[in-house]
Amino acid sequence: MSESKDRGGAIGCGIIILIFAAVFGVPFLWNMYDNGVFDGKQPDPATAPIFGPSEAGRLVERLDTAARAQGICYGWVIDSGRSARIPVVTPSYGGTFSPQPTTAPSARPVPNPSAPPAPGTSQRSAVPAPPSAPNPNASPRSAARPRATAVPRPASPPPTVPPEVTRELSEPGVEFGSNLGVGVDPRQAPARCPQWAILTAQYSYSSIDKEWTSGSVSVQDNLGAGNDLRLSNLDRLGLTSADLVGDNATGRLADAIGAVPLLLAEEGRARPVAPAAGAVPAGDEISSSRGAGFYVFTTIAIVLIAGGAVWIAVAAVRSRKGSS
Amino acid sequence: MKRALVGGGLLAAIGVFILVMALVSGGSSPKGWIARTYARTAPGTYLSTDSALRTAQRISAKYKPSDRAADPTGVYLRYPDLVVAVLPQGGKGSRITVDTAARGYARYHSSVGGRWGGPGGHASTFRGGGPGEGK
Repeated sequence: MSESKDRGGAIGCGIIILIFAAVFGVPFLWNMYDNGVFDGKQPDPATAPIFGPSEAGRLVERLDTAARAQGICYGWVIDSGRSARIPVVTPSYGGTFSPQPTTAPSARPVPNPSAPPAPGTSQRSAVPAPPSAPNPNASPRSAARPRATAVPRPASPPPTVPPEVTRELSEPGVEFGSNLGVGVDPRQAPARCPQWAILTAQYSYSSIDKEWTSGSVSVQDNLGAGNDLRLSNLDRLGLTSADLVGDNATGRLADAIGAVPLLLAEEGRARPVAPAAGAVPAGDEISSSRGAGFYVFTTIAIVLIAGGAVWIAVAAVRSRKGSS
Repeated sequence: MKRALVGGGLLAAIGVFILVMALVSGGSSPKGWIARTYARTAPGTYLSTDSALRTAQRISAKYKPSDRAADPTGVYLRYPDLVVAVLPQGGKGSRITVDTAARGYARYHSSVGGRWGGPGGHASTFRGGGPGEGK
């Protein structure tokens, strides 16, 4: 009798352990799988580019759409706070897309770079600077792109890149890109980008925890009006400083970059960008919004309910047999 | 029999509790609220007098989306069964569209494709790698 009780106790303990493992362990493992932890070799956070090939390609594509619609170049400069030089990612673009040099903006008049800036503007290309060296971080892809021909270049002198821009972009841990491609800053191409807006993000990085500990963003532009967009404007996106270092911080940062054209449109400084209609690739479908956890927990719940019912039913049958 | 009743009952009770929590945590749909709050201009399309960002913020505050994406074209809110897009209207308010999840994903694929789905329903972007995926 005592041996049977011990065995029953051991089985009970085992069941409880199994329940706990199922309730807490399975969703945890599933979440890791869903986040790509088991996808293969994980990049080193100390040197991995913030945006991978897909993310970078997607950002360039979205900014290219906005640049074409609004005639403004859009870019990003992110000081990730890391001390290492971050390799320039080769973006992967969807379909046949390839970033093109900004042609003459159709939405807004193109100011002549040699002409004095309009009242209220601060054309950075007006700052005298020595001719810029080729950007060492520029991807081979961007280097291979044809040059713009639509915007007439001034006879002399050619637009130059301000030295502070070159310095900023060559700092370790700094990553940048624009609608012209990854590793290309609009300020490096003043002839192609007479008007630009750039989101600048500044992060603090903990080399011990290998993650960002704080971050802030601001937007610089040369569109005049003298009211650069600040974080207070980005609050309208539902973004907070905590979001910039929280779960899916990279996605939130991409949101902030991608929303700059939207902010400008809402301020009446550019025209709205219409969503592009396009065919959805075969097999490309929306994932379940409930997440894996919902299905795991639901399955566990059903198993527990069924297990409890079976336990009671078996005991009832045994009890009935025993009494008869 | 008594032990089985207690043990089995406890097991089933835990199961019911987990099931209820899983169902409740899914959140509710903003469809009805949007229909009541904004002027309908076409089936599943509404007009807001506020800007796209403000409108999206208002909807999000009332009904927390499971994800939110912003890009040059507008703000996209994802709910368990719906995709709500809030698009600017040339400086005069914003347009709200309410679609089923699958239809909204297809309609706004250029903005949310890869992020909310992908081949086989498996999202392919923003899945980790850099320093911004901690916490």
